[in-house]
Amino acid sequence: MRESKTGPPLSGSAAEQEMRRLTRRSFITGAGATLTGLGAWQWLASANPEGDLPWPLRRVLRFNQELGERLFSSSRLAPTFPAESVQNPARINGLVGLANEILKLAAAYRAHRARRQPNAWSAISA
Amino acid sequence: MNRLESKHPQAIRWMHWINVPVLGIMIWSGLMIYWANDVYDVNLGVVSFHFFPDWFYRALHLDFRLAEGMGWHFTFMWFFALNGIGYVLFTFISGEWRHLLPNRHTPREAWQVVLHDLKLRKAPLPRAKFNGAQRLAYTGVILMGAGSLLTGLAIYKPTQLAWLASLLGGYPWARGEHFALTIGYVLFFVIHIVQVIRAGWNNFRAMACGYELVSVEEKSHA
Repeated sequence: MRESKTGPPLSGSAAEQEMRRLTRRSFITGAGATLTGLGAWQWLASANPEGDLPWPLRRVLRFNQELGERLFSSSRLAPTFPAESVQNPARINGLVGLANEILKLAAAYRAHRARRQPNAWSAISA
Repeated sequence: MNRLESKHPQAIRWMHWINVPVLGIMIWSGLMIYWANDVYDVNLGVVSFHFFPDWFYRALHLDFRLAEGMGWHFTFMWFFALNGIGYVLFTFISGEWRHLLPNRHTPREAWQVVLHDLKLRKAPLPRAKFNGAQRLAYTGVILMGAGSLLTGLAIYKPTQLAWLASLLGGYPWARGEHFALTIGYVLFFVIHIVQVIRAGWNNFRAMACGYELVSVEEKSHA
């Protein structure tokens, strides 16, 4: 309960006057916070791009990646499931931005397998 | 005669209002991500609804923005998580949890509120900072927030957190739960706004300035 400087709780017209003052103050603060938020939004959305994203977002993604690499072992393997649990064909999201990397990896993998198992070359490359 | 009474602590008010744009950005960016694989439908016999029709994505400019959506989502997840954790910590440290957590009277009080709001109950509701329905709703939405964080982590790092995804029923279930919680926020928001409008200006103003005017006569009869 809000109290006046002399002690007793405010009531009647004093309470209503104080309420008006508090309301005015909080709405001015709210308007300032809203304008600050909109300004921050404008700044963030129009920040110089880094890898096709505003640079602050890109840096947070890098931070997330570094945090993930610190928290989790890089040798952790993806969980595997029995083949019979597969119900649908695997879904490919797309190769935009990945095609070259995947082709390079695929070539390196084929070369690696060919060195280790020369006879497997034809089956893999097919 | 009215008396000035403190209602919401400053920290609660700030965290409540900060959550509005943060949750908005999380839903907006989440929809950009969901667009890339929008698999959910609701079938109610003769009526079926696809989440979401093409016009919805186009109207909100959500289509073809997967990478951008991920950038925003995985940045603002920190604000969402920190704000939520801060809120929970504050309620426990300050003792506010006593007003918010459901207790043994809550189910009965919540039912009275439902009857009162449907105009099926004439007697006034017992005067309290939060009624039974509010206790259930405000505790529930915090649990929903925790659920969003956990299901979100499970589908963000499904290899590293495979144990979490498994606990949530596997990746497809965790994704469905994450989506369902988001729909839950939208429903919560609609009901919350309707109830705030019904409760009136004095109640809304208390979430802005922290105080409300309480009728002394009403208080003496409570």
